[in-house]
Amino acid sequence: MKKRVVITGLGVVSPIGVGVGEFWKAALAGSSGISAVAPFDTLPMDAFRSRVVGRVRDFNPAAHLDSVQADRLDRYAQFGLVAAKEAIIDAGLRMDQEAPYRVGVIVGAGMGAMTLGERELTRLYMDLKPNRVPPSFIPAITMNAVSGLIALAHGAKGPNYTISTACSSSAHAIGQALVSIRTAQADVVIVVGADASITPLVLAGFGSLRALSTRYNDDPGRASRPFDRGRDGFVLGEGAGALILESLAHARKRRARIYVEVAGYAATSEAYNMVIPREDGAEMAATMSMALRDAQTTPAQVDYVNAHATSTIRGDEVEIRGIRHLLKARASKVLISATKSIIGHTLGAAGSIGAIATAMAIQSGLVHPTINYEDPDPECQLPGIAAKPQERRIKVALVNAFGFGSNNSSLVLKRYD
Amino acid sequence: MTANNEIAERLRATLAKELKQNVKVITPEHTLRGDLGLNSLDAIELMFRIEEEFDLSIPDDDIQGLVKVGDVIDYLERRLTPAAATAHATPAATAPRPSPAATTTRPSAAKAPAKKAKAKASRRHA
Repeated sequence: MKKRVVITGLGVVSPIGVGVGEFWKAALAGSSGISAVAPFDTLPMDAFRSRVVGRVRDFNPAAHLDSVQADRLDRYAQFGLVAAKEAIIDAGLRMDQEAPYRVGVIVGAGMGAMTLGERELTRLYMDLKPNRVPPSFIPAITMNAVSGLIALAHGAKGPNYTISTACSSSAHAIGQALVSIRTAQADVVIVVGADASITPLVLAGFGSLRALSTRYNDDPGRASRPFDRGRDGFVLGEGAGALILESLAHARKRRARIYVEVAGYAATSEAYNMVIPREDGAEMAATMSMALRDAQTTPAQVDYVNAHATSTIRGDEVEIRGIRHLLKARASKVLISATKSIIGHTLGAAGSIGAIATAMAIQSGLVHPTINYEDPDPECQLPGIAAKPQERRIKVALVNAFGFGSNNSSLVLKRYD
Repeated sequence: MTANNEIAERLRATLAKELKQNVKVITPEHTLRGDLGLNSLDAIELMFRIEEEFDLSIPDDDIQGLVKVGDVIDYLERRLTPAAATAHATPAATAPRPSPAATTTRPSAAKAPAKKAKAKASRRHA
């Protein structure tokens, strides 16, 4: 029998609040975290196709971090450190009472230190002084910076690495944490998903890909609208989510409060197209199906799906097609919600924040709304999608995260009792 | 006619450069995606090159209508030729001029309703 793994701590930095309490309250209220993008220095802002973003507001790094980290680290690293600290405290995890080599850190990040990268590159070409590139630059932009920083901050000496699979990065990080604990590489894994790349280059790049919403630049709160007929692309967001995963035995031994069980995980590649999912949704269905099998659960038992649903035309359609394909008659009974409707697409952080929303839904019996769901698109309509919060005692939930590079992941979270 | 030839030559040269192919093998009948092998991202890159080469801006809604090399030639001709521009008040390809080479394939292309083109504009899942 597979070793059981549970979640005992949560932490979040999001466009609707820093801290899980604030995040969850705003999510249930359906208050949009999307705002107009702040100008990038002298760049002509009207030349950007999409000018709405899910920006984390009122984040003061100095309030959470020492002054050196507040100055030198990339924003995504700051988010990651803050979320991790909250989750560790929330879990009541005392590192002085843990065997250090048994506590790992796995981070999911899709873009990494883009803010710092763009800033230093610009500075280099403007000032023409290669010898003035800060020595902290390289350790800050390596993709494993955040997993390293968290280990240093908390003395976690177990497995330590970063997974980078674009928009599914942190779902894979949770999945790999599950695998690490099942295979006894670690008893506890601090999982963090983080990205903060609302930069000119990234906003322009996703714009060129025609991936972003462009129709609601004057009405930011309405721009992210998964499953709605008026959707026209995703909204670039930023944030971090952190979760403490540990073996059930370890959690019981230290009498930790248990949010949910992480029961299953699947990772696949569509081997199809770098940015577009296969039209029929069969690949997503296969991924969800494998995750359910890993959790020794059947499609008929699923109560809730935290959808990847980024608010792109194709992506939302295909995901619902996949859900219908897999769940058959059950598809009209499950609740479905799109966290991105409220906070935008936080890229590498999306899987972890989706998992946090799901853990909270299972705990509270409330599913947050899919906001801006005003005119259901028949191509992706299911009765369980709602613009209002819904009540349900959830036993089994799926969390989906799909990424560029043709990769898919699904997690199964179960009520623990 | 001369304008058309000049545009065609410049476009073929741009295509050849972008696709790293011999300019001689590219004909107006070639489809960008099928025959020349452009994927959706290549197609956007190509539009960037064309916009630079011909100093114009191609709206997203127009891109979906550009299926064959000949469609792009006709489109550019319409946008760039003064006579054509006055004949068609809206340069953004709502009323294509009949052209012997491409009439049979044009309806799906240049006449593609704006709605359909928009619907295809953001088919990504990120």
